[in-house]
Amino acid sequence: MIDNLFILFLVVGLTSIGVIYYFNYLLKHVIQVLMQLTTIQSEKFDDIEEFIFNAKRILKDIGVENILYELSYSDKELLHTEVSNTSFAKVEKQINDNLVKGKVCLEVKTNRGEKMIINSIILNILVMQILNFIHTKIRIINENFIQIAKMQTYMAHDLKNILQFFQVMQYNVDNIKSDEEKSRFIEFLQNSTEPINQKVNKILTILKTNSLMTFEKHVSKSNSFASFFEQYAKRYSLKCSIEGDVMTDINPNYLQTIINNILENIADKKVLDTEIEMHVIIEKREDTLSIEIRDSGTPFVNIQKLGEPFYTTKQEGTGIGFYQVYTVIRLLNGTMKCENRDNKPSILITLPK
Amino acid sequence: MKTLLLVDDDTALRSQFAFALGGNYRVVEAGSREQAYKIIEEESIAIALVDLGLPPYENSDREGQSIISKLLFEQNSKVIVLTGQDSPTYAQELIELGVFDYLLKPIEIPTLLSALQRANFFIENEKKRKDENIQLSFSVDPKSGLKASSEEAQKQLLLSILNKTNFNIYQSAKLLNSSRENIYYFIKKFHIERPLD
Repeated sequence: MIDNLFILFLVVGLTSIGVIYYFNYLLKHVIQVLMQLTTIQSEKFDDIEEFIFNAKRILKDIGVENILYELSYSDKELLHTEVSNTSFAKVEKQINDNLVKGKVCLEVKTNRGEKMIINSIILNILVMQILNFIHTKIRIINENFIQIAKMQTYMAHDLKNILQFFQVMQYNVDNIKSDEEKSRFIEFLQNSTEPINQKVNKILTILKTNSLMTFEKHVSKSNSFASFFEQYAKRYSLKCSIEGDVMTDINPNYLQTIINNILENIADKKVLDTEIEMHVIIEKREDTLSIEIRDSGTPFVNIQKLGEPFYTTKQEGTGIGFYQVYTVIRLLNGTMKCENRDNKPSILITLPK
Repeated sequence: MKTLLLVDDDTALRSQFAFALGGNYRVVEAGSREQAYKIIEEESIAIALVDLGLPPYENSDREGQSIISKLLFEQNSKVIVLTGQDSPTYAQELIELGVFDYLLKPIEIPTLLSALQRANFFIENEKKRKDENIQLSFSVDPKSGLKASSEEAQKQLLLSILNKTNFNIYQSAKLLNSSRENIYYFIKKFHIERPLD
């Protein structure tokens, strides 16, 4: 009797252990599949078609077959229904067209028996994931539409104001009849907004530079090139060595424009307390004067663009300085060549004697 | 020189309008409801050019409407709305409220100037009537239509002039810069009868 009871306990015990191990195995399996699905979903979040393709592959590997889910959504609701096998062909086509046509289909076959419950859990979770996926997508699309509509309204408002601004400005310009009104109009523009003020100032600077062309060339007093360099090197705290000098009767305004802008540009290369050294060679040749300016700062970038109006490499630069230098040198029938020698910037100015 | 209040949140545009209108008016500018309120409390505004969409509600007429109400009820200014919001509802509501004109951006400047000129003409005439001690008041319902409102206004004006001149047709015609025939025509049209002495 005791022996029989012992055998019974042994069988019951072993069966229980077997059942526990079996459920443990199934649970592990479910977790593994769900982990894989979650990974795919997080990786392919934007592409539901690819997600479904991968999900189907996994479900096939674990033997889930023979169930067809059809998910459809409209602007009012989102539905998922189990459909019959006869709809397979129709649904296959819809899978290829999914989301865009408003339908997402998931076609799987399930086996019967032991794995049915576990597969059903996996499928339901999968369907829930896809539903959530579509809901999120619809919400994002709706939010984007709202934002676009808002932006459109703001843009229309701004566009009307811009058009109106140009119409009034054109009317104002057409009705300016005296120099006094012209100055007042410029003042109004300068006082309106900071960006307009900056643009107006740039244009005024260019006009001023061009008006230099009307200056008389004759200047009675001769000036020393070296003294100009010393003066501006001191202003910008540059360590400057000068080799040679030439007396010139070029208009001092011209010299100031050239030397001030070049040295200001060199001084702007200073970073923190780094000292920039510059060396100037002034030579008198047969028919020309040559001035070479070298400095220890960073080399030129985009040399071919130097001298173009509004071209600047500085964050707060106006792009006017070098343009002015080029304009004045051209006016004096001279040339200016910028280059990097041994990775250091060098400017060679040649002026007629 | 009359004071014109210019309300628009676009500073650049406001500045151009100020330049364009500065020759004929003393232009005061506001970019928000708060600024406009302050000016209305301090200045006597003859004409106001008001944009409806002001911060923080650029896409509604909320801010503009509150400025317009203040101008109409506290100063009786001539208010011209100049806005980019082409909503018929806003236009109807504001005209019922009493704005002088509702113009849409972008507008040709001569069109705006003629609207201002009309407002000016009305101000001058109202002043003239006031100086001549002709009290003209009538109650019209704008919802009943433009023609009915206009006829009611004509009738009241004629009545007040006739009362002032003691039903002297010649003097009334002269005051209204019209002919005697016209005065008789309107008397008949509006069924006006001379009160018994």
